[in-house]
Amino acid sequence: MLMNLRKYYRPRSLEAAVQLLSANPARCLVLAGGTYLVPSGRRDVEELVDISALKLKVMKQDAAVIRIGATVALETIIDNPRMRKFAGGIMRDACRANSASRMIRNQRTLGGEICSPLIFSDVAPVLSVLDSRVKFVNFSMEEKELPIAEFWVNLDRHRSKKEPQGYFSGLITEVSIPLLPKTSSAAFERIAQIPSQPSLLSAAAVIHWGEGGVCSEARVALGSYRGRADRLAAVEDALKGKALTRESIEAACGTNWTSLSPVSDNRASEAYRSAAAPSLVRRTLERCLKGK
Amino acid sequence: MELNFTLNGRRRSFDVAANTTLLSLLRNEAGCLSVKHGCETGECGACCILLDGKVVNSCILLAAQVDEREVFTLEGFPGWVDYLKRLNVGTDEPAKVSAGPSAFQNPEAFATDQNPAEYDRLHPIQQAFVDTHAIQCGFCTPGMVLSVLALFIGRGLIDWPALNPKRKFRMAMVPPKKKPFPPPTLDEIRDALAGNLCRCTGYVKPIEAAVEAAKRFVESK
Repeated sequence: MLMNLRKYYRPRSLEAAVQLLSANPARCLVLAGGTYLVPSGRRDVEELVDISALKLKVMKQDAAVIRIGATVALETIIDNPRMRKFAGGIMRDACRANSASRMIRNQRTLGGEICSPLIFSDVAPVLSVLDSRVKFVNFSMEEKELPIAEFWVNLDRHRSKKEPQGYFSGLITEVSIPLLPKTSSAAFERIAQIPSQPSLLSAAAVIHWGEGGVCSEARVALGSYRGRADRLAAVEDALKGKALTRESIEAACGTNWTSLSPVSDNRASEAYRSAAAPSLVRRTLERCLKGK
Repeated sequence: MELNFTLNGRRRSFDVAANTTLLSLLRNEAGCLSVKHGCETGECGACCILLDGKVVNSCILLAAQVDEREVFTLEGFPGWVDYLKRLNVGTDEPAKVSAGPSAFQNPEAFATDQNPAEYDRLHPIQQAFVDTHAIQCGFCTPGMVLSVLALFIGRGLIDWPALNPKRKFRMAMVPPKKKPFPPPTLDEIRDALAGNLCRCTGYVKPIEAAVEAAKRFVESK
C-alpha cells in the first residue's frame, strides 16, 4: 500500500498530465497499470497521475511500422491477431512469458514494462531485436523519439543521478516497431524453473535472409543476463554474410561474447547464466533457421 | 475523493482516500466478501474481479482506478443482486437482513425470504465447480469462477453487459447474439486459471469444472 499517497489525478489530455508531473517531480509518479508501483509500498510517493484516460491504448499499423500505445495492456498484445503473426509471434510469446497470470497481463502495460524499475523483462530483448523506437514527451512538451536501447541508457542515467524521484522526466506515449521483410525469421526462447515462473534467462533473435540463404543481417539479444537487453554484437557480426547452418551457429555462439560477466541474483548465479547463455542463444538461432 | 462506478450492475458512489485499494473498498465498504484478501501482491488471484469484462487483481488496483468503470464480483450472479438490495448496501435505509459475514453464513436469512429458491440458484460455472468437486476450503473458488467467466466472455460464450446506463444490466450468462466461438481448449483453460493459486485441489478439479461448464454452455445453445 502506498502509505503517503495523498492525491490521485486522472487527466484527459497529455498537456494536463505533463503539467501535473512537472509540478511536483520529486513526489509525483506516473501510474499506468500499477502492477509494480501499487504493491511496492513506496513511502516517497505522494501524488499519482493515472494515464489511463489519455487515449494511448491504440494499436495501429502504418505502411512500415506497428505503433503500440503506451497504455496497451500486455494481454491485448497477446490477443491481437496481427501480433500473433508478426515476427513469428515473438512479441506475443514475450508478453505471455512476462507473467503467467492473465490478471497481471490485463493490468500491466507496455509503457510501464519499458519504464519498470525491474531490469529483468522478457519483453525487453524482443523489443531490442525488433529495433523498436520509443516516443515520449518531456516536461517541456517536446515530442522525442529514441531507439529503445538509447532510451534505456537515458532512463538509467536519470535514475542513477536521482533526478526527479529517480525516474525519467517525461511520459512515454508510443512504441513503434518496424515491420520485418518477408525474407526474415524471428525467435524467442527462455529458461525458467517451470513455465509459469519468471525467466532466469531469455533470448531473442531476428535474421534477415539474403540471396542464397545467406544471413544479410542478424540481431541477437539476451534478457535477464546483465540488464534489460544485451545485444550480442560479436554473435551478430559472426553470422552476417554467412550461410546459416548448425555449424555456423555453433561457431558464432563460441565467440568471445561469453566473457561478458552476467549478474548473480536469487534466481540464478553468475556461473549458471554464463553456462546457460550460449546454449540458449544457439537454440534461439536454430529456431530461426527452422522458421526460414 | 468521490468515486462513482458500476458494481454488479448497480451505480455506486463511495468516498475514499487516494491510497485505498479496490480490494479494501469492495470488502469493507461494498460488502463484497467473495473478494478474498490474500497476498496483496497480485500473486494468488484470490482477490480477482472483472473490470470491464477483464479479470484483474483488486489488491494491486487503487479504488480510484475504477472510477466510471464497471466492476463485477461473484455477488453479481443471480440471487446475490437481490440479496444485496435487501441489505440496502450503500443507502441510509436499515437493512432488512443483517449485513456482514454472519448474514452470508446464516441460513435463516435465506429461509425468511419469500422466494428462497432464487438464492439457491447457482450460475452454471458455480454449479460445475460443485458437481466436479472442485471446491475444498473454497478460499480460491470465487477467483477461479471469475477467471473462468472472463475466459468465456473472451471466447464469446457469454455476453458481457455494455456499460450503458440506459440498458438494463443483464446477468452475465445471456447468450451472445453473434455466433459463439468453439469452447476453450484445455490449454486456454489452464492459461486462464494460471493466476489463481489453490493449495487444496491441485488444479485438476477446477480445470475439470471449467471444461464441464464450457460443455454445458455449448450444449445449452
